[in-house]
Amino acid sequence: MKIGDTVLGALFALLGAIVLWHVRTFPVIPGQKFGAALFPGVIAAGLVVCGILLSVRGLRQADGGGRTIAFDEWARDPVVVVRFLSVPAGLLFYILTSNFLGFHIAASVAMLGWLLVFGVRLLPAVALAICFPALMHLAFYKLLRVPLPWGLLEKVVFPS
Amino acid sequence: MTPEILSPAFGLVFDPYVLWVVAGSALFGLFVGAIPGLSATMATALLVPATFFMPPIPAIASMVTATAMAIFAGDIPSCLLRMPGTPASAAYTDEAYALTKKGQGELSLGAGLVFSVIGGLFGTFILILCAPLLAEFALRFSSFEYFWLTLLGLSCAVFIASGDKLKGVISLLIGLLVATVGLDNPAGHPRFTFGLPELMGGAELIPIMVGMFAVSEVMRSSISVAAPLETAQTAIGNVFRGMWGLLKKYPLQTLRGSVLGTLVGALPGAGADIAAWMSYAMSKKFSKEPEKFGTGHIEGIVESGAANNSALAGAWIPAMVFGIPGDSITAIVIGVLYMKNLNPGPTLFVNNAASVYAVFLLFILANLLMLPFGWAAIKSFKQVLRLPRKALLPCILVFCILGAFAINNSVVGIAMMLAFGILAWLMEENGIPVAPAILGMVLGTLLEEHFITSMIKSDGNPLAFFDRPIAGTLAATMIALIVIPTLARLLVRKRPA
Repeated sequence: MKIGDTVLGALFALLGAIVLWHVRTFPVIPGQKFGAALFPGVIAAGLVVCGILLSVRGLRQADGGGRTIAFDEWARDPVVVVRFLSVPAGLLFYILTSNFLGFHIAASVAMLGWLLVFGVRLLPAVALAICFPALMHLAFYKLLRVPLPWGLLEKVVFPS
Repeated sequence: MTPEILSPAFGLVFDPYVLWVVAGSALFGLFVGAIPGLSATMATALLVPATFFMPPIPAIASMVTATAMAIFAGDIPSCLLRMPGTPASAAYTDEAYALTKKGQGELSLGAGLVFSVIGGLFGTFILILCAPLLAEFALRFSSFEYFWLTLLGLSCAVFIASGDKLKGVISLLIGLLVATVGLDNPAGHPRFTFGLPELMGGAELIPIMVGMFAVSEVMRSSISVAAPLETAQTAIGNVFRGMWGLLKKYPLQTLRGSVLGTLVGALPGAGADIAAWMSYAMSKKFSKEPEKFGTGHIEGIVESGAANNSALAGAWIPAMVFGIPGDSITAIVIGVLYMKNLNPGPTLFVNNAASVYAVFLLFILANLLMLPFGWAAIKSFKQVLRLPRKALLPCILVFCILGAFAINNSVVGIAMMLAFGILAWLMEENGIPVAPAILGMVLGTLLEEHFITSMIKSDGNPLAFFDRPIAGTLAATMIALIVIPTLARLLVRKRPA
């Protein structure tokens, strides 16, 4: 996804402006010149200036490409788009459900989704989606003692 | 280098556990490096969760070995598939592939391996020579000097390392902004925490780096996941034949590549990939036969193959002495050093000299091991290719989830990883370099801390930043770095008019 320099610059300048507006609410330390707002303020001001410069540079581009948002060649193939979007979508699914479903179920479901979307056949995909998280459970939960969430499986593993 | 320090250092390194870790990480590094689309930085980011529960020396050992191996292994798919395994091999991929097409794949792979080892050892030698000397000098630094040094490092990343300076500055500012998150500021005010207690301690760097280097790369690879990989040459003969001849024919090129690589590596923000591009260009410029470049000529591979591996060791010089990462790999390593209570800085050389020398030994060991391991990797590359990437990418993603989760046992880490993965992908798509942002995140907190400490010390007098001799010199260097290129550009622009 190619965002033109004008649009990109405007976005950065906007981010800088929001931060500038927000840091005004930071408390000042009595008797001190430099508080919590100084550094973020300077950085945000820099973002505003650089964003405007980038925008202007984009406007000056002869072909007018600075003002557009263009998609690459691969974005015309729906299969490839689904593959690409599956990466953030799967991660988002894990983030939202892992506390409730638990690591094993959430990771297996996400992995099965990725494997199928990437074109692995069903049977090997199911096998890998079950085995790999189980292997990771051994490595991280048993060996490295990372408290992976059990979620739904908690009642199965620790019945009481 | 005295025996009192060396013998405990030897003891630390030649411990069976450490050697197992070295062997395992070597295989891991070769594997990640040899697969197109997975970089050496990604190898480091993926190693982080595994190092959580290791003692400091094996943790460092795993990163040093894996990165050295990955940078070399990137040459293998360059030669055989015309796809760089890591960005550091991209500079001479066409050259290496052209050699393979001429039936000289052995020569090209062998040169990649042997001159990687030579470059790596040269960089290590400079690291061993310079780091302790610099550390001794740096013991005299106060917050004023560190402020300028940090600022110098940040500007280096923008003005030397990135092609588009304006986008480089924007990237740096984004990194600095991320560094301001949390309670760690002069007023102890929770900045940009969005009410999340996980962000009070600041934005955790490891999930961010896993996102920026691993998730964004998986996103890029997911587009081409179905494309089959075919090697140009199936049988590979003796890769070591003719190497001695090459070394005798191109001694100057080897030395030049190694020196340039170490220097570029030591500059903050510029790593092995930039070192390889620069030394390939240099090799062509000073070559007696520049017309042969691009048609399958070994000279450029010798020089830039040495450069990218020497850059790895070079990057450790500022990282160990000042805590300023020389490339994105050392940016991750610094995070791990802090976790292991081996805070980088000149005092590390005084209080923990044995660990420092153990790191030096590990570099030598990793580079020497590259010969047998690299040879084996070349021989078994076809088997590596048989592993389908469509099955590999989901495994990497699950591993990323675990790495980002394990640092705080919180799902917020995974969310940060996802957000920064998308950000890094968007940045690279639009020509905004990622390295300055990483540097800004690592150094932002230090920059603010040194600035505020200095201001309190000097009672708010900004002239104090120029008072001390070293601080004054650093300030002058910093100003020259920005003013001279600008002046030069203005002069050049005026002349034709």
